[in-house]
Amino acid sequence: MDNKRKLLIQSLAALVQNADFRGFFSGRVSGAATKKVCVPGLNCYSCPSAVGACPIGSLQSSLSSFSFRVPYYIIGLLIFFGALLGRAVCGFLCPFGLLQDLLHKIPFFKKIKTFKADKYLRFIKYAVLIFGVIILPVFIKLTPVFCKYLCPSGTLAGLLLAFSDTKLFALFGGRFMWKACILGIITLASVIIYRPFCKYLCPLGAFYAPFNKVSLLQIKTDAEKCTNCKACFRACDMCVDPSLHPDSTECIRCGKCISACPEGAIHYSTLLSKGASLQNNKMKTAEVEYEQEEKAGTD
Amino acid sequence: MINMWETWCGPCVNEMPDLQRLYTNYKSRGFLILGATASEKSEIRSTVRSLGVTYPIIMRNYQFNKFDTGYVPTTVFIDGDGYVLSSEPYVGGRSYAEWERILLSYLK
Repeated sequence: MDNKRKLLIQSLAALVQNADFRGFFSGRVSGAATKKVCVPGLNCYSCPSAVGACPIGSLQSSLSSFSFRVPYYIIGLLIFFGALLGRAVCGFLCPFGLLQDLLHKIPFFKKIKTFKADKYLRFIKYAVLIFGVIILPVFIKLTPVFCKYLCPSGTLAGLLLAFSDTKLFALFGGRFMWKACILGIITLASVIIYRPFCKYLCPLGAFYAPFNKVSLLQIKTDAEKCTNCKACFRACDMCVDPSLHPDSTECIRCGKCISACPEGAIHYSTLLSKGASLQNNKMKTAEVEYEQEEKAGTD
Repeated sequence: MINMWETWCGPCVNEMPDLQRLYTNYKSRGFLILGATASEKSEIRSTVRSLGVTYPIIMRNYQFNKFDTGYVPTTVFIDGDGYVLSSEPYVGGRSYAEWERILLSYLK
């Protein structure tokens, strides 16, 4: 998939989820009837133009209410999106993902692709999901911990709301300043590192991540065509090697590897045609490992 | 009107100036708003002061469970005899015109 087409899909998705522009002029959070429906990506309910509810915000609201009830609707909807698309939601449908993509296009003298602690920091998002979205809101009533103390999408929504209704600026206190600092750090980091929020902090990405292995949408690498040149790995901003792990939990299905492959060995596929691919990939992995071992033995 | 709100909730604080206007315009007809919140008192004070809210604010606790939807803002209407008027709580923020229309349907 070429970058322009991906950007077009992302922009359309962001527009559909934020279609009520009246809020920017009236200074009101959109009251669209569709706000009862959760959107697939991270898009704050409080954004003046938001026509849907953020699934992470809704999940915390339900879990932190005084009368605890299992939020079947939200969990069911998240499982549905995950089972259908996996982390393609992050790659194509999340407005905050689009924002980070655009920020990363800003030229900077040194872009960092990976660093020593990178792979360990990626586990933080699972902790954010478990503690910030599930456990703490259950025990601290009426406190959606992730929204209240961390979510940069909510901070951005708050800023947009305040620009639409300037008297809200007077309400910004210490907690908002803390959240504004987080948003600032993520904004700056997005210029240097590709999607730092998605990689390290996003609880929604953490929820969708395991679905990459079982979702209907898959990326398939044809082992017959793959020459192990690693062009796909070099092209991947999420540092995934699709020739070996096409169902990696870190893959956001952006399709850069598909464009980068000189042999046309990588393509979008469905779970139904995944069996042969996985088997082929396992064989390929074993083949590569054998070659490496053999090389080491010769050396 | 019992309006359940929190200081960290954008739609809640966004509609409070409209609720204040509604309260000012209709209190002569016996209309009262109670803002129920579980937020920290210092944050409540600064929010209420900044928005110029004069209707009473009360602390929210487990006694509000029967109205709890899991979301804020959630609003219910109760008549002078203590009967809940709305069959379902109103979830989400609304504009002045929308609240006025709902209120007038109960005041009739």
